[in-house]
Amino acid sequence: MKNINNINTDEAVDRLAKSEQGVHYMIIYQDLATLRKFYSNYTKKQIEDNNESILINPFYETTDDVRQVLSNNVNLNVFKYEKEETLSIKDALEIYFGKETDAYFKKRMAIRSKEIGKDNFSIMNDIGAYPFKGKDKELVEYELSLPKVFDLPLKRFCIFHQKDFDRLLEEQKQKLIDHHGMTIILDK
Amino acid sequence: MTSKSEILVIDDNIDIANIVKLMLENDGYNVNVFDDPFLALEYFKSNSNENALVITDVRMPGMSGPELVARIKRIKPETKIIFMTAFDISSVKPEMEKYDYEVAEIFQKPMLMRTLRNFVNKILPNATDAKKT
Repeated sequence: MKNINNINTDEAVDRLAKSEQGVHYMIIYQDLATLRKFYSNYTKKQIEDNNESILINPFYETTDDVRQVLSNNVNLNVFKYEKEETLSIKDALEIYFGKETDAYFKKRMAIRSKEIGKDNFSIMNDIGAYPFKGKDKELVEYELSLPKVFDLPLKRFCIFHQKDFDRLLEEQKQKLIDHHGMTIILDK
Repeated sequence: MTSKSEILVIDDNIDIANIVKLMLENDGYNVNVFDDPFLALEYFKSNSNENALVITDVRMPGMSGPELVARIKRIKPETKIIFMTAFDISSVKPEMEKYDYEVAEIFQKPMLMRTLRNFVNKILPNATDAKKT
């Protein structure tokens, strides 16, 4: 499969931190420990060094787990950043299948991010909610309905557990890879 | 002759599965743990006669707990099921209803091991015999 980059979490954080506004990338992780290392380092870097706001949508861990990881792994002041709306953490099931549609919510968040003086807004979505509901086909359709590049001040990273990605048909996998600007497989 | 009840425990966080295993082995059950639902299903296919109870996590990559249970119930419908989840129980129920099978209980993690243990002893009829063997 083309357009796939196997890189470690440190390199992924550096590369994605430097990526341009509007990117829509796919990230595949092998285990929760690797994902936690990635999102905690990326979040710290973008909030504290690059004046960004961050939205994390976990699926295989609770929102409180994420808060704890950010606090323990990178010593992030989660309470402060959530209060000032620089950081938002919401369960992916609620985001994808809740009352407010994913696209509307994220557009609203991107606008809000600009209002509070942030240069950019990064979204990290675990797509696990779709396979959980047995909606693999709908996942692919939904992803393909999103633009390859957003005309908004945001970066969107669609995060797949390797086992969720492996569920998909080869044709579906290739469609997703082709539709995303870049696919990164996080090395352990 | 007394037959020991065999229990299958599945959680993508293997530490949790191992804690449950230790506790139930203490009560005389044979317990097998898996952090991968696909491997658990393969094991169940070959050992369904011995397995009386499946205790499984809900959100697991590759195959959810409710989907795993649906496949297990197709092999052996009388298998007793306990779900455990760190998430809101109301988010689990629609998935169970979709498959339309019976579940003995849903436990919210973190759960009191004593509560789980008492419940297992209640629903497995030969629990006391198992402890004696």
